[in-house]
Amino acid sequence: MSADDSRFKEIAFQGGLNLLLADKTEASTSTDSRNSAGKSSLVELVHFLLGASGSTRNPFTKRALRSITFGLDLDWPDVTETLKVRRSGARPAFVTLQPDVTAPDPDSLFALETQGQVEVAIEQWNHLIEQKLFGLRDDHPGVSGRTLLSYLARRVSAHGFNEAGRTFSRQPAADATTNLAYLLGLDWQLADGYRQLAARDATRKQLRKAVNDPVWGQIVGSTADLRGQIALAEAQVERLQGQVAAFQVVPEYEHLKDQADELSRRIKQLSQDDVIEQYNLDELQQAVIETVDVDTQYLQPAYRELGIVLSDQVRRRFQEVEAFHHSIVRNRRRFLNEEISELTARLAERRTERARLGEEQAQLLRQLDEGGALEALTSLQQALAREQAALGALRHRYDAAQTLESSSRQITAKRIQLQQAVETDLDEREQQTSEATLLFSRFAQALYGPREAFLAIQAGRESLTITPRIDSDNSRGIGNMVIFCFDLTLAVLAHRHGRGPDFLIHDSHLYDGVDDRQLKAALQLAADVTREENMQYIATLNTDDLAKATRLGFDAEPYALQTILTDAPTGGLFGFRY
Amino acid sequence: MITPTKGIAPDRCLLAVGAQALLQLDEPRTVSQTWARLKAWRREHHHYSPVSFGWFVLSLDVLYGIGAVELHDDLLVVRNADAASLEC
Repeated sequence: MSADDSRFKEIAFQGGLNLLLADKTEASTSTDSRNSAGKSSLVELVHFLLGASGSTRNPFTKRALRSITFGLDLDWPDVTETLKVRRSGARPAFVTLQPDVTAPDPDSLFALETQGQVEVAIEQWNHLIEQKLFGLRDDHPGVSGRTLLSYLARRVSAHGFNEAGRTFSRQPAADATTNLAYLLGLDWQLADGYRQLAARDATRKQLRKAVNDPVWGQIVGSTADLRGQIALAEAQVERLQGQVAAFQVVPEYEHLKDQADELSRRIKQLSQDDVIEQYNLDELQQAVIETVDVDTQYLQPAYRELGIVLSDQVRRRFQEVEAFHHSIVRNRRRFLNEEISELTARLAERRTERARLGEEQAQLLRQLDEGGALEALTSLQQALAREQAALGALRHRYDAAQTLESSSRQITAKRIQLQQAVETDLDEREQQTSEATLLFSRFAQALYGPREAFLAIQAGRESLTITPRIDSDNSRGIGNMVIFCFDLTLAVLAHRHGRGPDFLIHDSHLYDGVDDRQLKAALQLAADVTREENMQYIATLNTDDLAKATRLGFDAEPYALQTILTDAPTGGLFGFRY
Repeated sequence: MITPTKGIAPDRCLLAVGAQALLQLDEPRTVSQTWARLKAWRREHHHYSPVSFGWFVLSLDVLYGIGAVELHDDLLVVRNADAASLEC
């Protein structure tokens, strides 16, 4: 393990047991501390390099460390040289791999192209880890390489040492056991059924809550309400469909309409003309009466006066003037009579015209009333489509509501079904379960002697439960050793069957409060088992804790790493305190 | 009658009405048309004293008597004063 910062303590791990020690320097005072020397940071760093999320909470993306590029050299399946992994907090979304192990075709006849380095996104790196280290194939809902890795390198920061079955304190049981089942060689897909059911149940509860809410409830609604709404919408759709079917498209609707308008305009004009001519007619008739009334009695005195007033101007004799007078009056009367008969004829003609136009207009209007234009049909069809869409949406909501109301029963039924299936599966997998239990009890007995120790694997109601038990009182130290044995069992089984990498990392916190004798036995056991299984066990320890074990005859010499962390300001893993 | 008297207002005397009728005869016109135009003219020029059709015909008679108008093909035509004197 390395970094491009010279203050970083490079660490070279070996096969079998590795002990990274934190020592007190001679110069250290009573207020110095080996806390935060970097023992736990080692675990964090392993996670960082093996694809932990580069979120802002990760210490390696914080200011003090982000400029440093950390490196890990590890054995990698399919390549002969060691794989160099480099990642820096400044570019947390990528890791650099050398050689390039991202060959697209694992079945290629040719050896992997091992030249050069390649930068891959962190998601792809995780994918590679899942494939190559944990042997996961493409699709594996519920099992994640990150969670699996958390069992092999528990994190103090995530409270990984509280419970054997969980890698962080609030991990849902169903999530945890799915991953455990994978490591132990149980049917993880069955175990994942619990997780899916739990997810469904959670969704159902949320929805249930939403439905009960007065506002949000309207989005789905109850089946009873929806049934009524659907009936209404269906009736509406049917009504519109009937209208569309009965609809007659009148060709040239616009044209007909224009004609009708024109007709009504003409009828109006005719009436106006009538009024005028009727008035004229009255006038004329009046004038006829006037003409008749005019008598000739004035003519003679007028002519006589003409002789007096304008005697020298008079050119006509009285008879001539009289003849002129009569011809004018006769003319006038004839003219008026002609005019009157003409007007009367026109009025009569107009009356018939008006009647004809009225009939024509009525016919047009009837035609327009019975049918409609193409646009009207189109808009009718649009309304129909809208109603149909609304009906479809209602039906969906009805389905959703029905599912919601019946899902609670379904989930319960599925749970019982699943429980049965898992139970049967566990019975049939006796070999795997007994292998795990035997291994666990062997480890436990190595620590605590002939006590009853077993792995309880049960098909529970809510999840598959995998509980390691060592028969004893519930002390913290024993609890930690249970985790130790459990993790060792997991790691050995996973590695044996190609489901996991060959390392297990334990932080010194695991040994807090553990009796000296068990500490010694645990280290001895780890050394023996890793040798047998060709694995690697890395533990961080304070020197005085190790001293307890060595006092009891544990030979730490071959296992202690060259690199020793100290409580001096530059003695930590990173060479500086941050 | 022809000229204004005590009983006949100046705008009603036959000479005045005849003169007004002549104003309407800038072209040969029918009797009715002349009568209609005369009435309109009188309204326009605020001559509100009543003039009946008979009175209008009398004024035309006067005009004919002095040879100012003639009836040709049912149309009233103004006679040129020179032409009238030539004819006599």
